[in-house]
Amino acid sequence: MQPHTYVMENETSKELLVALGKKKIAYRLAAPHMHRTNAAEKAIQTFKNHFLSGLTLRHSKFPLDEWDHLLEQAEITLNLLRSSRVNPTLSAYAQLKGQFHFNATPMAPPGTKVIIHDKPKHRASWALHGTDGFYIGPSLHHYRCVKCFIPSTKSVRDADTVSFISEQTPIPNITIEDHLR
Amino acid sequence: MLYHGQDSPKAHCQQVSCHTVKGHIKQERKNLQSTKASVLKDALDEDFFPPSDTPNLKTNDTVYAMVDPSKMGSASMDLTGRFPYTSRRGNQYVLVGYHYDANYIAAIPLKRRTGTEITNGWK
Repeated sequence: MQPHTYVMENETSKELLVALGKKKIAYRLAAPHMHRTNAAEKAIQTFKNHFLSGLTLRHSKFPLDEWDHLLEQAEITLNLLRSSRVNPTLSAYAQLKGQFHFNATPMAPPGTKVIIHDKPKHRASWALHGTDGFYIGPSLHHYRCVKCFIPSTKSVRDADTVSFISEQTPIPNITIEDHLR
Repeated sequence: MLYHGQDSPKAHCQQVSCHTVKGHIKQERKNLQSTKASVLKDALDEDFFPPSDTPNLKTNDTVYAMVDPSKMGSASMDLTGRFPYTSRRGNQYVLVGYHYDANYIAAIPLKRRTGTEITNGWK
């Protein structure tokens, strides 16, 4: 499904046009100051709306300067929700990249706080069993793993065992009133 | 009350659970549930309009797609405005690509709006 024509803005770099030419892909430039001929303008609107609503789901402690980690999951979820144009029974994602397996590559709300399990071999005998982190997306090349950002080391880890600590849905608490009822 | 000081019950509740997890989290067991892909018919080869077994009963099961032939096989891309936060890796812009046939929207983070960056992003 490699596209044969690219439609781009008028102010496109020459370097990109040369690269397109090398791959023998045609291009068409939108007329100056006419943005509506470029379908990507609408795509930008749609993507921004989707990405922003995803951003609001993040944990309040999620560092916003790591926003680019969340783009991958936003792209997957957005295209799973869009139907393909040539075959409306498929999602846009399935049309281009194949069926998405929610069981084999599970997903969670972006930026959720997680406790990542530290393997017994790699922790001291009295160390805590988990490290704080934030979920950033499914790890598509691992089986049943999720990608987590760890603020203390500023690194990304593919973790197979995590515990999600949701901020939006509090864990039910028993009050004295409940006991007395 | 069950929680200390002026902490909201919500905040306290989370702290407790978070700490409990840190001490108790164990390696997740494998083979709890099969994750093999269910037997899905390959929808790409599927007939859009299969002949109905009872042709006189079902009249409202129609799938149609409006496809502009002049745009078939085309794709487009454009850059967003600067994201208000520069990421730690230096990304400020998002290159949005649009695949017309699949209706697919792709997003690639970019550091600068230079030709080299855009060309690398497109690749």
